Amino acid sequence: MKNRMRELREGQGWSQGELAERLGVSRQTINAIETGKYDPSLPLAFRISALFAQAIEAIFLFEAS
Amino acid sequence: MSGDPRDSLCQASFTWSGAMPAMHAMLPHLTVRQSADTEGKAMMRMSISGTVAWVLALWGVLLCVSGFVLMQSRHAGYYAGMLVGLGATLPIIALKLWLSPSWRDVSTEPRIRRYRRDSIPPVVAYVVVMLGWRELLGLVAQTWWQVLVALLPALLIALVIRAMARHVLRADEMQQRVELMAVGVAAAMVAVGYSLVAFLDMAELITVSSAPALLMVFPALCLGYGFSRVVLQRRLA
Repeated sequence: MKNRMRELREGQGWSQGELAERLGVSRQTINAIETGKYDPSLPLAFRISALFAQAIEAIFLFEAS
Repeated sequence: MSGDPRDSLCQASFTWSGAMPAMHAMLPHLTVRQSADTEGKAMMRMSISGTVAWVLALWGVLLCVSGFVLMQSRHAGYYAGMLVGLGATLPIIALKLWLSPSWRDVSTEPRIRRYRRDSIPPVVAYVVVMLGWRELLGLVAQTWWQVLVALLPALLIALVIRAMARHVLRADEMQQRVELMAVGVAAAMVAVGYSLVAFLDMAELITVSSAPALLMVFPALCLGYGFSRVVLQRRLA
């Protein structure tokens, strides 16, 4: 699953560490989500969506395999 | 102090069985490098400098050699075993620290603070008890007191395990997944390793003393867990 996390984070001028702090997760988790190595759970996806004030489907782009 | 070399071997396992989880619990406190605002590959910087790792490893080798020299002499026993056990732990911990990403990248400050609060008291108590455990055991006469004193190190290790479990429960979802996968891999490795040793023993190709072998279960699990976690964390970085 692709996502626009990095683009949105950089748009806010936040580092990975700052975003991790706002979401209450580790910086490695943010890095893994941004690089597509880890797909977040639904609750975390909702928290990300609320933080960036965007719909989940506007941040996470599903790719049919 | 003179004694039986088997006593030294048992004590080496005993020390290792305590030192491994204790050192494991202390790892976040040894992290000195912060890379919270770095990106991508920079995250995989070592949590301690190579120099510190080398110093720890060399001290480990030194302690191990001293322990083995004592074991060969008439002074084999409790302290020789303790030196070997501690000496065997230090190089492993040094290697793990050297390979691990910074704890600040895989955890948060409040979580590390709570872990310190939970883990330092039992670790310190364990070290104190370890230094005089055998003497303390000799001082008590009644059987139920002996049982209590004999089990005291195990109780303190249980408290360290509790601190580790609470640390995992406070982790975020991805880190919890990494921890659980690492525990699963470690359990599989220990099961396979112990099966191999047991079959070799039953075939009378090797002889394994039961007490050291049983004491090694938990540190072997810690060892497998620690290194599996490093591999999984590096794959996700």
